[in-house]
Amino acid sequence: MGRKLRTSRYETRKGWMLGRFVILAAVLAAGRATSALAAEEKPVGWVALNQAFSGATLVNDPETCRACHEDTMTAYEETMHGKAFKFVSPSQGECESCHGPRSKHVENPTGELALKNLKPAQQSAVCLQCHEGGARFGWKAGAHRINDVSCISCHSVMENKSERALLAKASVPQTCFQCHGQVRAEITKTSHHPVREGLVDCASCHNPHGSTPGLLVKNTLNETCYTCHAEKRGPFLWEHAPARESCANCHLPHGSNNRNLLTSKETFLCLSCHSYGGHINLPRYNRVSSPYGSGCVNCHFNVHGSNHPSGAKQTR
Amino acid sequence: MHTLRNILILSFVLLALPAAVPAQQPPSVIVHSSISLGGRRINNDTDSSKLTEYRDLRDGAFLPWVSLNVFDSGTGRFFEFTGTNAIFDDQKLVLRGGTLGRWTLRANWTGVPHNFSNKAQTPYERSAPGLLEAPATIPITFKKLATAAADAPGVLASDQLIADYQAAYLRPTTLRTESGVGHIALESAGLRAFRVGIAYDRRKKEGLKAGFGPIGDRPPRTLNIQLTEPVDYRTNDLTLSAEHVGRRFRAQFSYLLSDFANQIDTLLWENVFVTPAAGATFDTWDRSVSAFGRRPLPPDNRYHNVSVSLAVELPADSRLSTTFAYGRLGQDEVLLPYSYNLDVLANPALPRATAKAQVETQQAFVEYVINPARLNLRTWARYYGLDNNTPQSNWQYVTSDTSNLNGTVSYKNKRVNLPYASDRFDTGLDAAYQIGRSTFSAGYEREFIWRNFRDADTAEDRLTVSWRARPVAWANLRARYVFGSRDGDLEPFANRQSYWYTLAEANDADNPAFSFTNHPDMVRYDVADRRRHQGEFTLTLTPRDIVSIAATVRYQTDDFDSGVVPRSPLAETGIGEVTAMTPGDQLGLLEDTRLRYSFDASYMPVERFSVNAFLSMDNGTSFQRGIAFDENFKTNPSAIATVEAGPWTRKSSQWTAGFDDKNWTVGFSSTIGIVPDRVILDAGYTVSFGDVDITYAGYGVTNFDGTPFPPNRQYAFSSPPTVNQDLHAVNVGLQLPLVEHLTLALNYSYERFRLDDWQQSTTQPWVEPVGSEFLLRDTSRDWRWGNRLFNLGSFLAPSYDAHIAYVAFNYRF
Repeated sequence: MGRKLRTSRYETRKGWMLGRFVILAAVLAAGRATSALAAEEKPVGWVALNQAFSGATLVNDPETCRACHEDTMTAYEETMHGKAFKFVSPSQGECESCHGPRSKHVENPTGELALKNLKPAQQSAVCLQCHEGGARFGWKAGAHRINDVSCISCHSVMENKSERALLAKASVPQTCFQCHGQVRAEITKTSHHPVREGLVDCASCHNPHGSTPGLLVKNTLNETCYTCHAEKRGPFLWEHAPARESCANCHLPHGSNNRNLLTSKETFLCLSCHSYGGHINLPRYNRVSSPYGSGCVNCHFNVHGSNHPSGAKQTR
Repeated sequence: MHTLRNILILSFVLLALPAAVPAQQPPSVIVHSSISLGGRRINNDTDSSKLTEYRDLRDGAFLPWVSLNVFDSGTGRFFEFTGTNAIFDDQKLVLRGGTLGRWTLRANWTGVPHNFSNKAQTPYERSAPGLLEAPATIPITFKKLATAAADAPGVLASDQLIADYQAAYLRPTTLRTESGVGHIALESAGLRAFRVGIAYDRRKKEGLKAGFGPIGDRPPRTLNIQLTEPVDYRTNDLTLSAEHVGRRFRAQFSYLLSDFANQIDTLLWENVFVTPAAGATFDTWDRSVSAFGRRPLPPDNRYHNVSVSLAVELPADSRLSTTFAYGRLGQDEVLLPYSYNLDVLANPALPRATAKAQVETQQAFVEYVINPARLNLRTWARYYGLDNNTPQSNWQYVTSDTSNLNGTVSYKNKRVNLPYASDRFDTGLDAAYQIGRSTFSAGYEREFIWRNFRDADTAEDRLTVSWRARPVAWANLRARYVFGSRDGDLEPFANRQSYWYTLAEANDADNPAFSFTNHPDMVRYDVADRRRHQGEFTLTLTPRDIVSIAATVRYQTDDFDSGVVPRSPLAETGIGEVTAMTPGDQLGLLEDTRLRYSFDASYMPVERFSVNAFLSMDNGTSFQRGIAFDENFKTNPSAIATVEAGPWTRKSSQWTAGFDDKNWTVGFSSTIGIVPDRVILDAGYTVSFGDVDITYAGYGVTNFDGTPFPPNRQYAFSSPPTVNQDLHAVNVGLQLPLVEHLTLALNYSYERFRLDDWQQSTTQPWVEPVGSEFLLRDTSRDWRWGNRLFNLGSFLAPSYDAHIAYVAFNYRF
């Protein structure tokens, strides 16, 4: 049958593509195998970021900064940076490791050397001196960076506005809603993940620093969902193919006006793919399979897959 | 267990706080701490579970907040602890400690209650894990399920017996689950450019959720009951990671082992509708009806995933990175027998004893980014392969624990399990060029998905253009347009591989293995052709530091028109009326449109006063088409050309449904320092309106010949009432300093929730309430038995008005 022929071509195609990637990875690894372990700090080239730094030297004395920026530094000392720099002295000094050499600013205190004058990628380069790696491994190719979002778009370095992560707003959702306000309407719908109750937040599913599709914490949507919903992972003896391919085929993870985060009322969702005849062809009222209760799921409740030997229709 | 945990938490808090503040602290040690302790009162007028859906709201003492923060600048050691609702089921506990630049330990625990209903009822007793038994069964005298045997007096008599039984035996039951999610991770950065880490996650979920227990054939012969399905899950994840971050080269490795265990493997429930003879496992009606139903619960499974990422910085501010990941998930549960009444089946043997289900995934991703001068270029290729190694076997299809207890199984349903698999490959190029204060971008992406045992492979092209500008320092504009064009290479008879008998054995040409399963005009939207248009515009204004305004509009429309034309599906098989033609109108989801916009504004003229306001709107509209037909006349549709449940060829049997799903959310909040940093007033109001409208037309409103259907006719359906869901929430809080370090907090919240959903209502003309049952009975035609759903009493939480007030003392030092 045609599908079996495709299977053998499928195996050949898979092996060829995987082989290309493995070879590329090996080349990358071999090419860098001899590189010595590098220091973690990567000081930026300040003049390259802003020509106005040309000729400026390090002051390396926070008290000089405090003379004019007392209020800012008082709030800053409560932050993790403020505490950390008391213990670890960066090579460029406490304030100047992020703000650049300040001798010219001390002589002539204008806003010429302010961070906000830099482009977003340049602003991020300041933070990435120390904070590259971990969840930020894919930052440079991620959707946020490509769309000119910088670290200070979401983080407030000089003041604790949130419980954790030095966010620009009091919570993760409020920070994300600065740009993604349309998601707020979704999470207020009646069927929702407990975001507005504070038990999960955007970072439970998304890595804003990454470069995976949808900036998800895992490589695929389903892998992300299975983190909390492992009972749906299977695999099952009888699979429901669209569920295996993507949870978003049936669910709206941000929220829905339909129960169980479904894209539409249960019966109509099923009828958008199934038209077998008999009771499976219209939302007829006089059946338990009808829109009442859970619709088709009144009997076909194992929609994510069944492990019963007679579970071909997910009724057992 | 919860009580012990809460005592431990309270003990830790009460002991740790004083211990963190020794009489004489070294000058390098900085300690901050705060604790809130108060009392709360809740009034929920309808005791609606919607108020406490994800919250643990109780009258009495509570610990809304506790925190401890210790830092030693001399040694770099730090310790942080925060607890929100520390002793309640919706608690969040976060702990961090370590030595800066050396190691970090993170631990957190989150409790997630999920309350489904405070009004559920059930006749069952949970005799053992996974076993539901009833104190008695209903002494039904009208023991007939077959359609031809239906008659009104017998069915009505049964209705009364069931109503009497409910009155005698229904009793309240909880319907909620409680999840506990714990995480602990240790990360070492002993070598400055090399980190290793180990993390352990544990998720525990226990409780009861609404489930179903159908026994018997398909409707109208099904005996179905809502029941409390036990939930007792454990998930344990272990993650090992290592990372090297050098000046030019980076490498990241992670390994995940995830183990899911369901403490209850099987659900066995007693059939309340039958009373078998002593020692018998089934009762004899016009067919044999099983005394028990049995089904498996989610199987234990295990998942491994290893991922390696490499990246190298190259000249001209460019970077090459690649990721390779391999995953394997599998489960090998022992399979249940075909039927609870196994000894009466002619073919009881299973082709194998365990599931042997296994899926492997491979992912490879390579990406190159370069930024020469004002240009930013990015190109990538991504491959994701899902191999399903679950062996295929030939299975008998026993509909339920009842069907065909004469030893045979339906010849129509001898099935082969299909190991669905897929390969996904996509590649693309993005380019962005800066001119002055604007950046213009364009991108192209091509995606292929090859699928085994499914209707179609797909290929999609996506074009993106965008423009970003900052015309002045205080204004940002962004506009983006995406066009996607997907083509599906349809194989409508792919599902035939899931049957395993010859035409002679089937003795019925209508069998889906030889005719068709899905109507040939049906195209599933996830593999259909699709034309997508998506536009987005965002404006952000910060004219001064004290005010910011942001507005976004996003519009997306999908057209799934796949060029369906009339066709002769039987021409391929040569069986039956080979020239019979489909109507040629595409069935399934045809269009889907989403319009979203939002507006946010914040104003903070002075530090002691701020106000924020927002408005968000989400509107989705979609359109789908279906057709009603009798599946028993696939090969000879002309024989039922003028019958009510007619042939698959008849255009006038089509129906359509249009959906309009809207949600508005509006809110504002304000903080006023009546006395700066001392007396603070917070106030906020949020309202959310949700509506779902369905406009239904065609077959169901009328018969195929245009004759209107009576509303209780078996095929009747019409546009239902609008679903409305409204939520208003008001919150006011006041903080008053009492003495040094001690603040009084007063807070009042009001919530109003209204729900009107026809799907949960017993007031529609087609619904007959009998006790807690909801019957969907076609009394215009005949009296049938099986269209019953013995309900748990309340499927959805009712509307409510709730008042929540608390008084708390907050101590900070």
